[in-house]
Amino acid sequence: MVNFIQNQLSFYISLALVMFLPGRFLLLAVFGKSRILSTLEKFVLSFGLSIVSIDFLFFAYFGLKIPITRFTTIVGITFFIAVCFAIYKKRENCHPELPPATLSRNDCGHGVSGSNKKLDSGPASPELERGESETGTTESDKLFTFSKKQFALILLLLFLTFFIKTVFLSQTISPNATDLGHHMYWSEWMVENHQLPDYEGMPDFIIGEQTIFGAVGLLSGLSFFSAFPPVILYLVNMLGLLAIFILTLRIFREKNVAILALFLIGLLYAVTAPQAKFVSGGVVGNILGNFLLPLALYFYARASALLREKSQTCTADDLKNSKVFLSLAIFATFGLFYTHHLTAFIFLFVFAFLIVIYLLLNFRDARETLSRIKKIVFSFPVLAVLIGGLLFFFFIFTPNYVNPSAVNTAVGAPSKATREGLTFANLKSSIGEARLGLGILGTLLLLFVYRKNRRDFGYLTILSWSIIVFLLSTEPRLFFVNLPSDRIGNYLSYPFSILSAYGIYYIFEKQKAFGQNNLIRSAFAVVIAFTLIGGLSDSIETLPKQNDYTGLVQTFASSSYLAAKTDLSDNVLKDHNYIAGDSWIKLFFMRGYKFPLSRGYFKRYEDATKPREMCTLNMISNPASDEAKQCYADTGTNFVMVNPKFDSGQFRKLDNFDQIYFSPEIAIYYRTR
Amino acid sequence: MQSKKIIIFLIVLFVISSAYLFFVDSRDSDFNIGKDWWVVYFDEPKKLSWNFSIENHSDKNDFKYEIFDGKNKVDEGAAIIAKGEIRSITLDQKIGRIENGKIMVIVSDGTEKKEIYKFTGLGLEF
Repeated sequence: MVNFIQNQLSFYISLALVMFLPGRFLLLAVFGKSRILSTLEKFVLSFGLSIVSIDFLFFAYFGLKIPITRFTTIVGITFFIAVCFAIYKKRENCHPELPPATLSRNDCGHGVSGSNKKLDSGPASPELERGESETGTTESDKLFTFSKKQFALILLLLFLTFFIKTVFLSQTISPNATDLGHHMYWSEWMVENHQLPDYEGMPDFIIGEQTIFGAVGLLSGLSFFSAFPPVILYLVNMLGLLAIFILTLRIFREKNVAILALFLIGLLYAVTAPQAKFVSGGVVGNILGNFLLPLALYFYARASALLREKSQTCTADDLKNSKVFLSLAIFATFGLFYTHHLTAFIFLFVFAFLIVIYLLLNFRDARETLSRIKKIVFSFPVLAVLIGGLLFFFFIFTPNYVNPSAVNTAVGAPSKATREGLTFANLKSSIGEARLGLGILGTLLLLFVYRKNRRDFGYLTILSWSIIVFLLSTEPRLFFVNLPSDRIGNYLSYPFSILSAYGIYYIFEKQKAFGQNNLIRSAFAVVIAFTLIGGLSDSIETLPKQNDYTGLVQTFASSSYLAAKTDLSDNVLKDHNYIAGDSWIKLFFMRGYKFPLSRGYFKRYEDATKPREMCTLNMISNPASDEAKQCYADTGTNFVMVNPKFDSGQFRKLDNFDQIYFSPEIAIYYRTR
Repeated sequence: MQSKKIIIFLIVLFVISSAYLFFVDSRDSDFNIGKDWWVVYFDEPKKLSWNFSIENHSDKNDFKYEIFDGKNKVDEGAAIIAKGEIRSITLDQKIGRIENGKIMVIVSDGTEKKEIYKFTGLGLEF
């Protein structure tokens, strides 16, 4: 029990050091005590910025050839925090009487802003982006102050979301997911070798998927076989939902839309992909991507505040804040590109579409718009982050996927039926019937509203996000994309939840008659009930029964045995089809990502679009064949791990295989000649 | 103030959830808790050694073993092994050197039998 408590404490302390404090102090350095961000926003953003900061800290170590150890990690984080704090103190000492966001009002070139406007349901006013007003209450304070009912509803939604996800994860928390095993191998490699992994040249992995696990593993000393990796993913998943909440609140400036969005992305479909199932499945890149993508969009949307303003009301504060937000947006974007290629790929399409459409729709004001963009972009903080990021990206640590062969696999005509786009029926099962219908409705309504608010970058951000992901998943040919459509379709649930929330809000709550008209209220109740039933029944259906981990522990026991009994001269082959948690076996050996060899899913050997070696299949399925004998000779394989219920017969017939280990789920054979 | 309350609520929910998940994982990953299995293996798989171990993670603890050289029983014995324990059985001195044949170890817990075997003289080192 004492050990359990100690582990828990070290985990939470490590989590705070790696995933919260760097970002929190970075925000302190750039915004000081300004109340331009609400406390909740600072909390959510701190995690995202910490994740990216830790990435860059390790890249700096890589460039400087500093080993990544517990000591150097603590020193690096402490140094980063100290520098941020020093910047904050220096700024505070220079201008003690004013919050940093309201320091200068003489540099905009468009005069001084007017007084704060009252919150309304129209597009966000620039005052929203500023610091404290003369009355001492900021727009952030107003926006994040909820009525008692709203506050209670938010707490209830958070509680239920946690509850459903925790119930699901409690059945699947032990380390047996294939993807998580692959990722944790590299994190363990990082911890053992004190440097960033090179992934043996494979483009499938990206460094951002490993750094936080490696850092927390280093600091806490916890085993990668414990619950800490999925718990970190769980935390990131929840932060992704909160990122949607603050993004929605900032863009629509309607608390009820944000609460509805939290309801639709958090409580409903809380288990299916890309939610808790991705957490337990160890789909690290998607989980992190679904946090960093909305976070980057949040920063871009806030940086765009200056573009929304009429020229007469532009202030130095607006310009300054836009610069800072754009710097953070670029910083988060680099984090995204260092974390997950697919999400980054989607982001590129969304961002390009967003910028082009925005400029086209505001063609009349193009001169003024471009002039302001120029002022924001060609500024010290923005260029410093952009150039610094590019230097890191291309000269210090370049992700493996930045190479022609990796790009070629993602670009081109769809090579399989699963890449030709999702049908509506596919989309329905992917994001849920209610969210699909309401999301389309919300898209149409927002398009209608956007016609009158063309300067609103935030509205267009949400529209671009949903339209691009929708088209990428249904019509990939339009973009010359050759990626699994269902993987892209999973991304749709995030923007469609926001748009569904907006659709419900627009149809019902925005109507003045809502309070009085029983018919409208009844219709609202029916829609909520429809979405609730759909979303909750989906979670209930996907709740697994209590898993039996007997197979998993046998895999671990046999791996431990084999790791102890073999040396570098031996080669091991295991089966992926019938052995529980087999991707974790490599963590016992730590002799390379591709050690032990693995017989993959049978269908993969029959995939005409991707021919592959047959040795791993033949050596287990037909060990007496001439092909298998040749393979054994070529690969030097002398140990074979299989599930005896499926694969022992073919070995028992042969006199050159000793059966050296036998448990109900694992048999190990030693090839003697 | 409400933001702070929401954050505190989030932290409490996360800590409770993660502590529970850590607890569940430590229980599920334990070789013994709620499990019923046992394993038999050679201690020196690459050598011409007959020493083997029984690792018990089941509720049964009365194990019997028989050693065969081909079809001939050359030894037998019994071991009481508590749940979570490993018992190594030393046979090398008892059986000695067998040049060509198949040594088979059959272990039974009374209801279930498991076997391991080695072919002798086929690449194993002494």
